[in-house]
Amino acid sequence: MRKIFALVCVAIALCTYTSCKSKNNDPKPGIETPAKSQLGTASTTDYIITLYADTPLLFTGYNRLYVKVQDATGAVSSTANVSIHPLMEMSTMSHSTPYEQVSYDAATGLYSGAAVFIMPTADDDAWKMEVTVNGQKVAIPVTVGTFPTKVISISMGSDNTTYIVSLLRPATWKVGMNDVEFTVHKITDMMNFPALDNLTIEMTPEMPSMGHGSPNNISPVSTGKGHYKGKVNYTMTGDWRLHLKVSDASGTVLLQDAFIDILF
Amino acid sequence: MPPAVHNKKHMRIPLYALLLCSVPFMVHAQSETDSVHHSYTLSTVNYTILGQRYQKNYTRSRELQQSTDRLLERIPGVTMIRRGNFAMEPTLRGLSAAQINMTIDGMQLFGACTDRMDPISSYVEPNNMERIQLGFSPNGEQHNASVGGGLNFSLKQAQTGVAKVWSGLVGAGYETNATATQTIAALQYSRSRFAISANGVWRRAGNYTAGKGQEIAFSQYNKWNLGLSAVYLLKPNQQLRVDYLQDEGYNIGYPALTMDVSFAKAKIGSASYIYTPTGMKLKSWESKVYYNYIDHAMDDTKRPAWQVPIHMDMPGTSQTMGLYSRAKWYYTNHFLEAQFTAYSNRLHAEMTMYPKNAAEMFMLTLPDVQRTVYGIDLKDKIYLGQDWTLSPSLTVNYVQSDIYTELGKETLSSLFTGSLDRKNLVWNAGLNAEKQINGRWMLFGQLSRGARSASAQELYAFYLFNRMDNFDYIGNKDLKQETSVNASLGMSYHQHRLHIQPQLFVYRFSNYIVGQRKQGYSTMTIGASGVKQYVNIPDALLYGGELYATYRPWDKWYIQSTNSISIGLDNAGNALPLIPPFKSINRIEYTPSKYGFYAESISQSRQDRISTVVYGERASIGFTIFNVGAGRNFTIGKNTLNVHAAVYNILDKQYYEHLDILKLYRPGRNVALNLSLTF
Ligand SMILES: [Cu+2]
Ligand SMILES: [Cu+2]
Repeated sequence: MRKIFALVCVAIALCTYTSCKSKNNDPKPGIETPAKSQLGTASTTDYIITLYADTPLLFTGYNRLYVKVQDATGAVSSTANVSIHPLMEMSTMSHSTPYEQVSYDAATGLYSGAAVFIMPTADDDAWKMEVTVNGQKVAIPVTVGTFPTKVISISMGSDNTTYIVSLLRPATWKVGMNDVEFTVHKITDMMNFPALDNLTIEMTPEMPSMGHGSPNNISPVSTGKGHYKGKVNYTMTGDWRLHLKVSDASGTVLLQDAFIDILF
Repeated sequence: MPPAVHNKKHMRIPLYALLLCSVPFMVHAQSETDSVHHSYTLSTVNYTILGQRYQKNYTRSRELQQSTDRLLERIPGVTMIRRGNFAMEPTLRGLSAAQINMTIDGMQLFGACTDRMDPISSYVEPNNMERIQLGFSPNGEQHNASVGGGLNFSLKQAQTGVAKVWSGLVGAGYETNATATQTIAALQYSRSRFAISANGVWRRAGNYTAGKGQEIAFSQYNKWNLGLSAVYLLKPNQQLRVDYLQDEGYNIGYPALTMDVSFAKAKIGSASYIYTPTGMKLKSWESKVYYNYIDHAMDDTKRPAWQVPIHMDMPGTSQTMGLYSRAKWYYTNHFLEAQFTAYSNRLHAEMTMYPKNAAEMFMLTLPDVQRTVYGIDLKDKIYLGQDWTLSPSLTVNYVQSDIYTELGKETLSSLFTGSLDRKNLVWNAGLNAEKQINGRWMLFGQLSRGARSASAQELYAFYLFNRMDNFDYIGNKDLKQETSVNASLGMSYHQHRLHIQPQLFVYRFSNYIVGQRKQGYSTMTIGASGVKQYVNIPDALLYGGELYATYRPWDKWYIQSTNSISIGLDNAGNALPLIPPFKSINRIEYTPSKYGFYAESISQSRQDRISTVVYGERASIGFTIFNVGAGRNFTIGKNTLNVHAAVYNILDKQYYEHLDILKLYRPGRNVALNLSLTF
């Protein structure tokens, strides 16, 4: 009987060992919304306006922006007419950058939008975000740093138009299949950067240090408002380059290789 | 005396002491055809240092200095895949890797290397072993589902109640080629109820020189191995047994591969309870729990820069935990065996690359695969009159495979969608029959159905490079089981000077697993020709035969011939890769009193039954090499000193076997000297 008991004990131990596969289940990073960082605040006669982003520092490329509007008593307003406008003032001229106008998001109580900064803040060249609430305008200075890898591609297309392709950086990348999203804008003039839909993007990832790619990628497709969504496959960590070949609806290749660099 | 294992042999079984090679004189590595007749037992290895059987210690002790590889490659039907001068991989009739099942003392172990640098046989030394059991059919001596049988390395155990309380042996050997040295030792302490034994080996070798003076760079190795065994008798028929084996290799070159090994370590432990009642139908009941951990690290830091486009580290681990409980009954004309087994294996292999001016890169190459197996084996041997023996058998395994880390699952999202888990019910069934026609003639045959679930590598490999065809391999989680229907027929003619035993076999496979080129996938390995994925092909055929013969023309003279051939074809008629061509080992021995002399030739025919386009294999030219050896025994008091000298490949021929990766030349002329003392 003792033997049987011993055997059963071992069997239980073995089963326990084999079923403890949840041991390495770290919490999935990047699923919960990260806390927002305040970039600056300003007041008008009737409102306190605060600007937030996902990270304390803005970077070249696509950045989500959030505006909180409070009245003088501190109550959060959800019905105000809010708009943003990014602007860089250089010594001789000023220009804007592609952006997505804010709209109220009930879930967070913030007006959310985005800006695709095409250049970083430099000595004399400063970015500011103009925010207008019910006709009352403030300007909140913001600093834009250069992202360590090339997450935005600004290049001349075959039709002599300048196109801006920008990556929506996820909170984290993981090995294997990842959702990937880009925006495409073009430069009409210093103040106008319309979003472009219905282009065809052919995405080819590559590891430049080894020269290999990865299988099963899904090239991003147009989802409206200049956004394109697809799936990218990272077979290992390290440096990856996403080659993007962009064509218009008629099949004309606009950009041969607007590449984006990734490191994780 | 260990129970049933031996009892079995003393029963009324037609028992043939086939004299099988490898030892120069008198006592040859003796292979008894076991009941199933294709299960060879090397009794040189079977022999314990205490001389409880009629065998000469010196024979044994010299043999112990050989590597396991050298012992294995002399068994008919066994061919080794060679990647260097260390850790060759056994194939049985051309079946290898997951098609065969390798165990140590019934314990499941799985190599940790993704490049097949560490077959299980590399972690066990002749000095550890009592015997090697070999089966070619799915239900041979193996207790696990497979399509092609397997190998079990039975560990030597401490013996209680031996007349000499202390006994042991020491030995040392030197080989001129590769300036290889071997040092072995064994010691046993034996009392009536308790015994403990220890054995150790230390080997080292530099680069070897192939025929015509060509030095093979990166062919060195260093290793040590330690075996411990303790037995305690609770009662005369109940024993507790603990075994521990540790084997560590360092700085091992693999000249046929792109990387070497900085270390390869195995720790193998088990505890057993053995009950051997007398006067009952139950003959023995053995239960064992075990755990083993294998740690492997590949290394490219010693290679010249032109061979290393990117420096990388490639470590891997394998751990297995398991148990089995096995009982044997003997009643009237039945010998019944039943076993329950369960084990779980976890494999992890990763790669970190360090490019010169960029970020380091990391990936899993075997993405944390866990496999759990539960199995039942039933086997009966029925003696029908004096002439017939029938052995039906059945094995059922439930195999569960999954990925045990999030990173592993994420990695495989690169290749697969949907669940990665696999559950397979695998069964084997077989029938062996022996018919004694008269005192000299016997017929034996078997028919069986075998199956295996795809291996962890075949299911989940993540860009594993195969040097043989120069392709990166990826797994296929949707692989079906590979199955085989396998038949063999042999006969044996035996009289006191002559023994002849021919045997024919055929395996018909369904859903045979091979690598098939996958278009549109870019290679991971710099310089690889492409990517292959494991797929099931509808069928494949393997057939061939073995002929084993011995002859004693006069007393003290002995001639032995071992021959084998395999032919493998896939469903499209392409020759399968890694199939050994005709091989013949012929040996003559002369053994006057205390001396022994032998000469032997080893030949392999050319192999042009190959499919370069499909399987990336190249033709091989054949070869013949010659070896000679001589030995003498000296008695010093109660101790025996054995001196043995041999010259291998005396003509210094440049040669390789067909299964050698990259067709790298094997060692040229090699003079070996071995001394050993048993006490
Ligand atoms: Cu890479
Ligand atoms: Cu390795």
